[in-house]
Amino acid sequence: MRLGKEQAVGYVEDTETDSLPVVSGAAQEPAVGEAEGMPLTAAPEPPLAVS
Amino acid sequence: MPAKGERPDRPFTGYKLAHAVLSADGTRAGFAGLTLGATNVYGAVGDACCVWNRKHAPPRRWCGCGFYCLHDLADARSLGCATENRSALILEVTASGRYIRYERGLRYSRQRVRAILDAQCACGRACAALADAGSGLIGWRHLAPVCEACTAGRPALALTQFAARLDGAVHGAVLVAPMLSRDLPGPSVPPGTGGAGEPPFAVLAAEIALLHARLDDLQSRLDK
Repeated sequence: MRLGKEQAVGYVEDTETDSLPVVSGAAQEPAVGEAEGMPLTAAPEPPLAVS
Repeated sequence: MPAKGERPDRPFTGYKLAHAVLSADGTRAGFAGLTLGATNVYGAVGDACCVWNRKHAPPRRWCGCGFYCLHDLADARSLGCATENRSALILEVTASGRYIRYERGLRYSRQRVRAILDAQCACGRACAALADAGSGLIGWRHLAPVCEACTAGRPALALTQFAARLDGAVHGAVLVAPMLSRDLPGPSVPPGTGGAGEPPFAVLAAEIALLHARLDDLQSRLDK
């Protein structure tokens, strides 16, 4: 990423503190193919019965 | 001549691109950089470390280390148009700690991801979820934005679910902004142009970015 010419150096304190959950309503899309825990993997196959 | 020792009252707001990543067990989410930081995963709050030399504190002038961000959202969106960046998310961040300020952005040591502002499916529609991009790092899968149509039954993670898996202490601080409706006019971009980038390209891009950073620095010194 090209940022251009240097203009200054400095230090700024991180003044923020962790805030409460904020999620906009517009982003509440339903999950697609969600599976709790491992959302991008298929549900585990049941073990094969061996008699 | 660059000003020395700035001490602003409050952190900077900036914009950057990053790839979304999900841990192998699907329980944690994070972000990975595009070039220099492509192999480093960071969370909603992170402190930069140098990938070449852990003995110095980023950002070091003659090194390319540290987090990067741009002052203008328009510049970040412009960067997102590049083929290799199409599957990246555009983030709003708060930059703090030690920093070097440049014309177009900052290099800095501490970062808070405040919002995911934009993400687009490879077809040009707005992102509805994040799906496996088919690439990744050890322990982490790259995720690529997908629209509902292109999801087509693939397992995917809603943005809110992704945000909820960011590091626990601050995950709620991430605001997932409404995706912008930026459907392209005319024929859509063919699918399959996404993906989080092939590792050899990422390495090459990292080297180029480092060279650019050093050239910019050299130019600044020559200007003095």
